[in-house]
Amino acid sequence: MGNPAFNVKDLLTVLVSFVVLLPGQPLHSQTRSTYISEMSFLKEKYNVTFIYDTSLPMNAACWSARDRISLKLSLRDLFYGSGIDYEVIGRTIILCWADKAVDYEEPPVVFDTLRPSNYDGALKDTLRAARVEADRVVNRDAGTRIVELPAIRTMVSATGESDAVKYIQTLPGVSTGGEGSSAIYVRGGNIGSNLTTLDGVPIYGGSHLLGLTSAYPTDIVSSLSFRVGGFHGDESNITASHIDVRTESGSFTKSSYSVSASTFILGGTISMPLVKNKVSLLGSVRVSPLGPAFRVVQAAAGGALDSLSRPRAVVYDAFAKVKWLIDDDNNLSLSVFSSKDAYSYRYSSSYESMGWDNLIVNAHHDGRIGRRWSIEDGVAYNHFSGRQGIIRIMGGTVNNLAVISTLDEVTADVVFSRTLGRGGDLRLGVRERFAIFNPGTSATFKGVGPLQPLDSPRTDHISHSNITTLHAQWDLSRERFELMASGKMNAYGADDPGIRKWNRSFDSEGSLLVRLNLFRWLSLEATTDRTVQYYHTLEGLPLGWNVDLLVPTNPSRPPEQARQNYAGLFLSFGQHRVTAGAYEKKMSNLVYFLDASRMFSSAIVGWSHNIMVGSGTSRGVELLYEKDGDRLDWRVAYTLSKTDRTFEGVNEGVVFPAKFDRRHILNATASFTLVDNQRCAFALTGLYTWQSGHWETVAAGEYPAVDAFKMTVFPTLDYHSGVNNYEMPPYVRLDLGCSLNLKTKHPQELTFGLYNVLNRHNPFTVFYDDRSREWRQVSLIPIMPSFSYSYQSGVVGKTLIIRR
Amino acid sequence: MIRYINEPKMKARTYFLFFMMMVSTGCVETIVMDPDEENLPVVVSCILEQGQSKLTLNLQYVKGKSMDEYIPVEDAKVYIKELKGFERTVDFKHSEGSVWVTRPDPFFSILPQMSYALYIEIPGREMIMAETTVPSNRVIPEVVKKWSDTVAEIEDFYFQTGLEDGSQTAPVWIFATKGKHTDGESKKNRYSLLVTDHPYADPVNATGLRFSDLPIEGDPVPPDTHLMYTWPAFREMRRRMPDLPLYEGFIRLDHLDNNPFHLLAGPLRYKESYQDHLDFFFVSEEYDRYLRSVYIKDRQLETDLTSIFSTDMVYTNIKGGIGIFAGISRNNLMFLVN
Repeated sequence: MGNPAFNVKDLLTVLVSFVVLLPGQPLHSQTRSTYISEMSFLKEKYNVTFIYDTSLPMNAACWSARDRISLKLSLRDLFYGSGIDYEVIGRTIILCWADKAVDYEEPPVVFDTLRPSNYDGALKDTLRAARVEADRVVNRDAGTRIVELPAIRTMVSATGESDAVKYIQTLPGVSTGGEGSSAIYVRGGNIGSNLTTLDGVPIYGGSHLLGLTSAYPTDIVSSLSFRVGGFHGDESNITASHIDVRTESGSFTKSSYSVSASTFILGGTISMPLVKNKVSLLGSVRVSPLGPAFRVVQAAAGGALDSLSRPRAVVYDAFAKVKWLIDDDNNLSLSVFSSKDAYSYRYSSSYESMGWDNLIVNAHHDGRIGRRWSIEDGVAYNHFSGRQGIIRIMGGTVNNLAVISTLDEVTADVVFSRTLGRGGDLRLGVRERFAIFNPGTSATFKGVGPLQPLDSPRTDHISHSNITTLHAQWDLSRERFELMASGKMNAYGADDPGIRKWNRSFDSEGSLLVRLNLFRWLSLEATTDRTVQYYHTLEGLPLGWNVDLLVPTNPSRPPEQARQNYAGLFLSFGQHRVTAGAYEKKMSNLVYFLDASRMFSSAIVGWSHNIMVGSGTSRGVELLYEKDGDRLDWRVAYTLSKTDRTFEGVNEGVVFPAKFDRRHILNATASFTLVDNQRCAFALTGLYTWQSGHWETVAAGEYPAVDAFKMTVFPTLDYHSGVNNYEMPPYVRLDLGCSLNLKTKHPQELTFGLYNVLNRHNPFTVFYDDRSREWRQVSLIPIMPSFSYSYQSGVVGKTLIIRR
Repeated sequence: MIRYINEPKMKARTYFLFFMMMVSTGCVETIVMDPDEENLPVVVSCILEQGQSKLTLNLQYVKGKSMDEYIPVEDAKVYIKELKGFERTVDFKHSEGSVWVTRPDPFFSILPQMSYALYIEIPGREMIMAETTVPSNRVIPEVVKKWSDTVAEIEDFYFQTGLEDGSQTAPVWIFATKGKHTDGESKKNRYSLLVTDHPYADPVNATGLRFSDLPIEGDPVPPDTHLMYTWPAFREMRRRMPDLPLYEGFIRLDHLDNNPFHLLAGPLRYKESYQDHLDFFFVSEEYDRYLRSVYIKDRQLETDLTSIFSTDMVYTNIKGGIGIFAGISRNNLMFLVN
């Protein structure tokens, strides 16, 4: 049964978003020049500095590119096909051979720059200056944030492990879930409304260590973009945010490795050429000693873990990527990512377990077709499974129940890019995604009780879905304005468990981003997005434990849709930058999982009957102030927002606040560099966060049940005045840390931190203890020390670009 | 224009104050959760049973978690009204505690398929009201026995109503009780396991056991089985029917129609003569929703860590309060005769 959502208005929206320009005649003059001549011209015109290895053929002939409308386009056309690669950092452009990595620490030959400078400190000083300069540049992508990896590493976390998500959680518009977790709620969306991708492939189980850190190591990351609006054409199946993680490639010239250790994770990374200048390998492994650590803590604490005993844990992740430079125009990469989290413990009289796994195999090709076209294509296989298990004695019999959810997905996509000269850049693509879902299947069961056996037909929840997406994106950049328009057309199909009939729908999506550079110090920007999401996440615990059910859309659970508008301004003066904006968002077809705690009750057989569909709204004001000084850097982010939900069968259809509708969110971070010389750097960091409490549904009273048939054991019912009827006290936390970088031949980095210095027991939930007859609160993480250490053999600290 | 605080003492003082502000916010405040007495919601519990002439209603306030006792409502005007026919009105009078009762009236009784409205006026509060329709108990299945062609044995027995095509009843909850229905109702007398192939059986209380697991006390069967005419039928059913799940305590059907169905209860007893019966409770839509949600609440694993995230309120049809006002009718059917 189709459910088309396509209409004439949508068609017009899509067509407007598709700017089809005729393949153009060459729009630029074909004048012969030399690289050095062109670089000199660009240096004067754009006030930039070129740094390059003198083995590069700067005096060789080339086509002139000085008449392009921007530096970016000039560089691209100047060096296209030359075998020369370039990297822009602020106003510094670093050139190197395409198949070589620049060894920043030990350049093989004497540098030459177009600005005379002392060799010994030239590169480092210039890079540092370039970094500072970059932050002062107003003319850059909307919300682009350039943050060095060390800056993320120095953020104190409960695990000691650097994690970009922890940084993202301090940005405006982002509300956090449970304490210390990696759960994020972006502009009123749910956890499942966010998507994290690794080289374009979604990671559905994206956290480690019970949500305390991300499942992928920062060491393999080359760039990370966090986008909450103005979504690109190839970003689909999301309605809140996209964390786009791109991985490094291994070195093609020199082998290097690094090892690291933090409070809960040990890791190692290797980067090496398999065939010099042709094939490279990047490998990474991390393992957590959490299991043994649990035992030590329990032995030390004795009864301090309350009802928890016999904790066990297995946590690891591994990544390997082989890249093959086929020729100057084509390269092929094959990567494998695997992660595992498994935990078990005895709680009171039951033995419980939970865990999740990821396996991603990704083959990707980049190439050029002619002078103006480029192609990116790939195939990926993605497997995710989450499970919860419980062994419990009920009615005198041992009951063993496991709830397992799996998702297997195969994706193929291809994207064509073309430069249109003055017409901007165009990207056209198609993605095919086929998935097999099996959510909430029970396995292994014995004994009596209200539970369902494995081989009952009712436990077959296998369903299939297919999404075909045609997408396009047009970018146009001028000195005074920038425009990005993207559009998507989705053809979606899915069947229901046990039923072979497919339900189909067609949905369009579109995004528009406009930026006006009024003055050098002032830009205005606005985005509007219409997005659709086909995978629903039935949330249980808001801790990022990845044991939530992932279910596909069907006629009773239509695709989630969101319409979002944002407008803001960006100010830059001296060392200070201010971003201010406001958004409003309307969400429809949100799902609400009635009473997630029923997972282990009679309702397991019919989880699909416990889903309500409704809507939500969110409005907010976002402020961000940053100051980059010579020694002291500040960042203050504040969000004022209101988010609510409405479900017809929940709370009697009355609007109620979203669980993590935090009215005020304030995050202030600071980094103070005490020492920074040629031998070492030492910095102090701090984070202070004050957030309005989240909402809980608290039963403040009770009343007797009326059971005319005398079938119930507990005749008293809890009384809730409404859903999310109690606002928890504010969440307050102060983290302090310090980091020491030893700038030896093999750099080392040591970081110490104190998470929750105030030892504030931020309450996560409250409940009434019938035995002690008092209200009690559950807090998750007290003051916690952390540390991390890393040793590198020649791997340079990288720059992570956080685009927001 | 931004002014910088450059003066050293001023800087230090600013930083100190800022730090103290952060430190002072690190305290945890006491939580007071109980609703105050003025705002305690009212709990109404009233089940109308077909044929009843004296009605009982419980009226009290929600008890705060830390309160010791329930507070009954003793000052109110409570009455019930028929919404069809003569539209009679009957008043409740406070009896004791939270119990309110109607005066016995020979001309008034709860009628099947009659709709009733309940009104409660408590001084200082808004009107509390609810409506329900009492289902009919006229339709119950008959036992159909199929005899063997060759021997004097029952091959099969099943149930079937005489409803017309397309007709259906209200939701029905079926319990199997040992002994005659006049022996009194008690949970102890009930069979703990039931099985059925009815297509509308609710899996809410399905267990992990199967039809083949249904025990028979007294196996092996002694030679005089021809006197135990139901035993061959049980064995035949067990052989021919799919290995269906067993249900705990009762079977809930969305409705009854004219489809035939099998239904058995166990553990089965072999030893002595007995008569068992099935209790059919036809319930109004409100009570069906209420009972189902109460059952689910009752059966979830209370000490599971995730139980602290239980958020769902049990269904209520009381406007201005909570609880239930519903109608039921019952009937019974003898079905296991030795």
